[in-house]
Amino acid sequence: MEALNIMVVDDSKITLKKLSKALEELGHNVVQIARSGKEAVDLYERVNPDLVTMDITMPDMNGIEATRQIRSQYKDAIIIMVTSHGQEQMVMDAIAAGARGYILKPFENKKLEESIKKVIQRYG
Amino acid sequence: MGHTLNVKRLIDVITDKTISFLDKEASLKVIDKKFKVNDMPYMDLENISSLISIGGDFNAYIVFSFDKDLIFQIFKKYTKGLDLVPEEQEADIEETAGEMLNIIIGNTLTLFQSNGKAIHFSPPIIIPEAKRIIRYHKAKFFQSALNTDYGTMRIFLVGPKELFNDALDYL
Repeated sequence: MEALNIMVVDDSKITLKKLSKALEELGHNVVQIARSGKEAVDLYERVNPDLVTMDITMPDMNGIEATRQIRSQYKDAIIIMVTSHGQEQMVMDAIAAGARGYILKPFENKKLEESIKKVIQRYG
Repeated sequence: MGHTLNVKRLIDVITDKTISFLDKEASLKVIDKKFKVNDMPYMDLENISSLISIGGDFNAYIVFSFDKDLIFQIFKKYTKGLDLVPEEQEADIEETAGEMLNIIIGNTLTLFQSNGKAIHFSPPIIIPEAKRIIRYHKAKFFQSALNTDYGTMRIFLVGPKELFNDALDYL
């Protein structure tokens, strides 16, 4: 798979670093990080990433609202939720907001790679 | 707060998920575990504790409280290979305590949603000091203690939520 330019959104510095390291090990470029949903919305236009990984529970604006706002302005945006929330209703809310995929923390590199491949093949 | 049976099951699931997290993410084995239901006159928080408030039927705080050596071991193993600055280690240890709780509660509540409604929970909050919280009449405390070679971590369920602020002081 071609290397993607990815924006990683999470309020936890450690998760940002873990996720960035995993994505880089998979051959992708982490071109931007954001610590809140609002920051992600503000940065999206400037960065124009191939893909966004988005946490759900964050200060300022949660990941579901950020996904909704990004997708309402950028119809082709590809956003994958990477979150500890596994509740069915939460998954449905994220998909309704425009998320293309969903990965539960703690994540494994293999699962991350499979999910990215799947959404890029379908929506990329 | 929810019915005691549900609470007991919640604590059991959190305990099992925590044991699994410690094993897979920090290569730490739990030697033994102990559960106490509401018969504690007080609860003691260690130097670092993380808490999350959960809504729905539970209406309670979940608290992870760590012995210092144990949280340091978890931090070291969970962040292995990451480019972290030594000057920020204290903050990174606190963040590890919060993120661990966040992941475990997120995974646990998947099993407890009722009528298709998601149970919402707050971002993790850190209490960076040891303190004793006395149980007054209406408060309920449940505890599960996990012992490892590096010390103990205690999982508390405390409620009802409206009795406390986010530092677990009585309102």
